[in-house]
Amino acid sequence: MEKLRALLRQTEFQVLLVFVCLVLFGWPVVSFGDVERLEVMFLYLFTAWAIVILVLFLVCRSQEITTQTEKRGTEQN
Amino acid sequence: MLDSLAVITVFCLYMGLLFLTALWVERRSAEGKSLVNNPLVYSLSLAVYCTGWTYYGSVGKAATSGLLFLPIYLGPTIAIVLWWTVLRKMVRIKTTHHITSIADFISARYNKSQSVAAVATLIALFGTTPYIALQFKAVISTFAIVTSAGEGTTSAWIANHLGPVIVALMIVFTIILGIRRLDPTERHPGLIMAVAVECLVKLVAFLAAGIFVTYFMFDGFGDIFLRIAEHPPAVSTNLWKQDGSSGVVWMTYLILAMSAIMFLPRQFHVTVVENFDEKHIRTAMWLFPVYMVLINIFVFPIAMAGLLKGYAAHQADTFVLALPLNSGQKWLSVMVFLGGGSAATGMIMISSITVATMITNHLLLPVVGWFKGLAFLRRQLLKCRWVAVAGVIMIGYWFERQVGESYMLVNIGMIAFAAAMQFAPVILGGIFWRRGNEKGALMGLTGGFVVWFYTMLVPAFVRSGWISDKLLSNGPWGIAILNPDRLFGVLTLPPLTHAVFWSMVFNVGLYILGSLYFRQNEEEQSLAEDFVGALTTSPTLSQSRHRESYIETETKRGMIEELLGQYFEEGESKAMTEKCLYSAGIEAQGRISIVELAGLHNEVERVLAGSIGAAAAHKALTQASIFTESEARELSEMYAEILAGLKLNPIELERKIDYYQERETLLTQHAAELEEKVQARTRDLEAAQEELIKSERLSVLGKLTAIVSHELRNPLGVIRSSVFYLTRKLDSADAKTTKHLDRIEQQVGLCDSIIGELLEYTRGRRSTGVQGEINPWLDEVLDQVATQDGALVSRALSPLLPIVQFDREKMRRVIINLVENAIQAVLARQAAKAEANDPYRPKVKVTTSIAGRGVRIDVNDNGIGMDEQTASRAFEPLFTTRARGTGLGLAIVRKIVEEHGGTVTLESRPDNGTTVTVVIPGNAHVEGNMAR
Repeated sequence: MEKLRALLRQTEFQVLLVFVCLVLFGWPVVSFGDVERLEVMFLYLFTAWAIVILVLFLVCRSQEITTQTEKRGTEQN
Repeated sequence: MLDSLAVITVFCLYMGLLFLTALWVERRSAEGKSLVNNPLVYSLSLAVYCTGWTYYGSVGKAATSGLLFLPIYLGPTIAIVLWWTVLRKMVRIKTTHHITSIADFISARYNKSQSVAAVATLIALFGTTPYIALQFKAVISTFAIVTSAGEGTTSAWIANHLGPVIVALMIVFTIILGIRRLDPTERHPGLIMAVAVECLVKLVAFLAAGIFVTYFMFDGFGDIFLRIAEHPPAVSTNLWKQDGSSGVVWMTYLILAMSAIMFLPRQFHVTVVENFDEKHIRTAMWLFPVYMVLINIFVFPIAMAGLLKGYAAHQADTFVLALPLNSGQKWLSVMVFLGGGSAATGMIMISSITVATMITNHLLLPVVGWFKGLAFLRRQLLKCRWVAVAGVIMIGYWFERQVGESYMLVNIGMIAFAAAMQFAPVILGGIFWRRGNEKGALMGLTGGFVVWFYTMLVPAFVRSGWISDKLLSNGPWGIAILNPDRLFGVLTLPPLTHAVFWSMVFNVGLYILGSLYFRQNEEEQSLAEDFVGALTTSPTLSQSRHRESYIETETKRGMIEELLGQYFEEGESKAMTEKCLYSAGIEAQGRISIVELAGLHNEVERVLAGSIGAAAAHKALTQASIFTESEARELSEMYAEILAGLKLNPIELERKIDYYQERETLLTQHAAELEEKVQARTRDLEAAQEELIKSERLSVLGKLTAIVSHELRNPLGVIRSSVFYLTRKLDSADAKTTKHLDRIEQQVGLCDSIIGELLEYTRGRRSTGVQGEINPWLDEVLDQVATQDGALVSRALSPLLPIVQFDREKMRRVIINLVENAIQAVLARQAAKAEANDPYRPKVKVTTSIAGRGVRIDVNDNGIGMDEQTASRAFEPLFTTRARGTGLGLAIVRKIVEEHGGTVTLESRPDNGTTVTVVIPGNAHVEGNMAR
């Protein structure tokens, strides 16, 4: 778990996540104008969006835990 | 349809409620209990991003362009991923540099340049005012949809004059909610709370409309998608046609929205300027995207529902309101209208305040500086800001009247986004690239703004029919490569992408070129360092420039000597100067920092106040101008930074200082009490140490006595045996011989008794305390004494004494010692009285009484008594006034009584007798094994 947190709180991971988002939400992965595929595209975009928000939540949580741990460490010292 | 008057009344009541909320929040903030200092409020306030354009326009966009409305919200989500690095840095810079707006931020980074700030203000003004027009359009058109009014009524008058009414209401609400007074921090807790409430209302209203349309008018998402697939609306086949540019437009929207979430002036204001705590960013990073998902989830179903119900695509902007209204849901329609109104008014208030602040600070004040005749405006800054707010809102309304239903209106949103993007290179470059400088920023901003205006606004004006279309077909003066739609012959890009592309090329290119070509001055380098290193340097350390030692100590020394020389002799003033430098800790420094100079200044004032009084000293120091203008400014900036860093307004700061002063007083008192306790403990420890030394001495003395006694008692035993033998042998010895033999025996007995007492005092014996009554035991002891010394001793024993624990043998020794002392005292006085022929009746009396839970024994005599000095030393070992005494009697008494946990005291006056009082406590604890 600590390894995952260490991964999430790195700035480099956040830059990677931006590129992943650009791929997920960008052309050519997202296609347009095809009425038959609207429902699929709608579902895909909102699901991907929800997943990105979940990862963002985890990133923020890892930052928070790190800050709390550092604060506790400082107080103990 | 609803009555116009009723709707406008509900709207006014709603705004009034928001005002009361804002007022309450501001009062709580003034009391130091800020409700806005909360991540939830911060996250909600960011939703001012979702304006009336998105509230109504997203549905319109979805109806005409499919999912193309989504990148406007997906873009911010992508940008938010980097907020912990980018936004946190901007917030920290804002706190350190007391930033009040986006123009102020850019100016602060680039050498505090007024030119850069002015250009940034112009971009903000040009980008924001049309956007405000769009909000008016949304409110006015939706008002017309939900209301109806009969001819000649008040409602009809309101419907006909709705625009000016709304403008007036917005001006009033914006001023009283946001800028009733000047706040040095440019934070508006009341306004932010009002905006947060508005954002919540618009979300709830939109969700309510979405749920009604999706689940009450249709059978959910699946039903709507199924019907579209089975019977595609005509618009879908005509307007959603896929062409090569779709992907490019999508990506352009995505990128524009990524920058808009931070660089739209109102977004910068709520995300950066109004941020209370950088930790709130963490919550906003996931909560705000959740908000965007919720407010968008029903956009597409509502758009499709409108089309499926047969509404025209060009009316799609009003589907969210028209669908519930035409289904007879009046209250839901009012709620949706209020939601749309919230979205529009929130944007108008924040944007107009932000732009008005920039106009007064970066356009008006520099102009006032140039024209002396306008100097009076400096004192009227608040009123100027009110006028600016009114001006911005009115220009917005005027623009709304002008654009009508033109091309311009449909594209205003993206035009504003593109304008905000002009800030991105100079801000991002400013916080991540040290070499970015003032000239580069000025060139980049100006270039980008001009190209944006030329490639985006001018074609919009042409398409709206305000400028001849020849400009777009032939280019200016017939120069085709300058055609604003196909600049430099680029034909492949859609108009929006074309404009964004060229404006960014010029903006970024000129910024980098200018920054590389021109050099930064020293101050600019320092600012660049501050901005780029904002996250790696703590707020305290970022003030390190104030701690640089650059002020010549000798210069200040001379000034201080000169000042003190006005009041003291030359030598004295020099000595005092040295003393001040020494006290400030800078006597050996050639250069000092502004902080150290402030310390020296205070020291001199303190010293001088001791001679001429505080007020005169302060005045003298002020007149002496120890601080130069720049030093005073730097000191003032330092205090401002500290104040901004503390996130307190001056009143709160004053309150906290009072609190700390009070706390310091309490701490001082506690320190004094602690000092007293320490001294008391020290005294106890010294006494204990003395006692220890004494007991150690006694221990040594005891061992010595034991050895000596043993060595003496053996020869004494031999002497006594020899005397006994001689007495038996010499039956016929003469009287003289017999007398000497008796004397030898007596002296041997005396020696033996001295040795016994010495051993008693120094070694003692193991105690054997038992519970018992004092009186019978005391009677027995006194009887023995009386038998030995005659019937001299009287007694008065109290009958109801408590039972105490005592060592009978040891206490017997105590009583015998005391009574023998008393008898000797009365005998001595009797002898003296007899010589003087004075009548005297010797008296020794032993009494007992109750002492709390213990027993008190008094031995009183009317003997010779003692003087004060003798009485004070009476219990000291080996102290005696008698020729044949050992000086151990009373010492042994005290030792035994203390072993019982009791006390012994002595009162005596010469020729008046002595009283010795022994108290044995009820819970008598006898040292050693006695109590066990």
